[in-house]
Amino acid sequence: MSDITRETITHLSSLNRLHVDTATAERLTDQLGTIVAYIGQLQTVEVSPETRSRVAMGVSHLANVLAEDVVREPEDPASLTFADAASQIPRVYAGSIQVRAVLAGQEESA
Amino acid sequence: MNLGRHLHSEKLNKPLHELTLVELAHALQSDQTTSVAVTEAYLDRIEKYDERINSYVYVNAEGARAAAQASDQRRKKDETRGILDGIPYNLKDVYATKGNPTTASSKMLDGWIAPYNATVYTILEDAGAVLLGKTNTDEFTMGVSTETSYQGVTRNPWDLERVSGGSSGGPAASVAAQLAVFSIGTDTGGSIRQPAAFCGVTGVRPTYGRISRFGEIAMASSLDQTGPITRTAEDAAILTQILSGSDPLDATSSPMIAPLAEDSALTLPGTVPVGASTDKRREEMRELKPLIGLKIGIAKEYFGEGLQPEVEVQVKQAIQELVGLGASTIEVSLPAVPHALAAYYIIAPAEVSSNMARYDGIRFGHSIEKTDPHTKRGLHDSYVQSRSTGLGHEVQRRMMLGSYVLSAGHFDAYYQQAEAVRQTVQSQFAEVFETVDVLLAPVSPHTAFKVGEKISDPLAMYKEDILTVPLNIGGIPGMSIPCGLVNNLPVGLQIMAARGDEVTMFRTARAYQLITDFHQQFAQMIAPS
Repeated sequence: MSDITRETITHLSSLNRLHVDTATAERLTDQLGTIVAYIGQLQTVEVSPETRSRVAMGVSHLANVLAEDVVREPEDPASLTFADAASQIPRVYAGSIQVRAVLAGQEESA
Repeated sequence: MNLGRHLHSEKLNKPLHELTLVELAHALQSDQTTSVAVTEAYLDRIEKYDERINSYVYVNAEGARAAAQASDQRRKKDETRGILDGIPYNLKDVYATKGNPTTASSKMLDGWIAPYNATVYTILEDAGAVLLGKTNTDEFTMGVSTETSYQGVTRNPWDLERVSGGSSGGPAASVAAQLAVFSIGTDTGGSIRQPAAFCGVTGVRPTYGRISRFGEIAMASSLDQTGPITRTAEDAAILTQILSGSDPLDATSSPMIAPLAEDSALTLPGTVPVGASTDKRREEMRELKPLIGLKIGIAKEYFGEGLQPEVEVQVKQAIQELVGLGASTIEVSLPAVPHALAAYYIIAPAEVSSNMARYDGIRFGHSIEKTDPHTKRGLHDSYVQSRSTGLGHEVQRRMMLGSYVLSAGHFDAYYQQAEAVRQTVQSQFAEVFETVDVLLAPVSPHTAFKVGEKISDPLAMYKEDILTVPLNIGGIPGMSIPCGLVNNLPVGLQIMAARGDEVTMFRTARAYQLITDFHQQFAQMIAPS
């Protein structure tokens, strides 16, 4: 059994910035409950203490390969111009991305 | 790429759309056809047949014609760019191509025109390949049947009542229906191999990090990998070799993976000429035994409960064919493999919940600000309405599952445990590959299922990945090749190899295809009616 309830679904939809109507919430409660019960079986799988420690400490036998940060000129093919990047922005104001006010009722900001 | 070493000597003796990449390259090089003629033949077929299959979500007719003409011009001036020059192909609808739609088959990106090119596309474009269009996928690659696509389901060319598999269902169906010479797809949990198996084509998931993911719309970044879908292992090896390499724009395209040496994947000692009949080749290769020394691992965990008996028979017959070429079999055990699916459905949704956060309706894609710009709302409401109306049910379900397993109180029990199981699976694969060269197994427990059969049961859908996901969790390469038919539906043989050892995988697949003709069988529905 999982601990997925309607309240869990409400919380998860809020975390993901999703609106879920009542019927969908009902369905998701059942579906996620079944899925979580299935993946929950993993908790019974024995893994070696060494592996558990490595994971807990964030240590892996794989090494992260990180590229150096590079400042690119606009004409660099690997770089986007603002015009390209902004070509499909829904709302543009004075050359910037325009967003709604963070709190409803406030003035909009760019 | 030394084109000549791949080419066959015989004259063109079948329709253009039936030619493999290598055969078509030969036909172009020997002036038996032109890229324009081949491209027009494919565009005709797409128009004629794809209405029933729905493999393409965007057809790049004008662009393809222009690219084909340019290729023919280069050929006239003896400036051909290599084996791919003039060859028509398609991309799964997750690769950014500047100026063309790229939607991940989602309403969220419907109409989005990419402002830059994916590295994979840049490589293919530089090689002169002709982009026919983009092909269907489950929404943001989340699914196993293309039924979650905003563009509708892609049907299986072998039986239109059945799914083509997923998420690369469009790419696989398009190659199976001869609507492209090859396609490029992605495989996060089996998304190339399973549709390849369902549609009777060859599909490769290379080692994680072998091919750049730059410009590929991400689902689960630690698992996603690009690979080719083709008609033969030979074509797949060539494409994998061309696409491989470290990319400064993708830090996970690892320079540490040993490069595929030119042609090494295709070299088989004692191989008789490709032009010979399959029976003759089988006879001669059985005497020459080119696979002597190859150790095939058979892990019982891949032949367990739920495997359709007829599928098991086909896979075991395929293994015997390889034994007939000199390979030996060894029974091995991978006890953590049955737990890989649960680990996958923790790790992948966790990464999905992070990757999907970028779709907020502010910078690009579907936005409530476009469809309803005048209603007063706050920023949070704008996010919620854009995302709720733009993202489909399966995507929303996985995002929520990901947030659940990452949330306080569940992180250790689910995510940390899944990562521990992942490391255990990786260790067990590494250990097994000290003993064997390849692992052979079924790709899917059964043949293609019917459209709508499982769509209302997400867990049943997830379990479709049970035989493909371990490889992704293990980070090793694998491929599916057709190995028989059950009730006139294709069965796939899965060939897995050690991390970075695609050469052995391709040699095994190529040897099998030299003595069998399952990869040369095509769905009958595509015959003109």
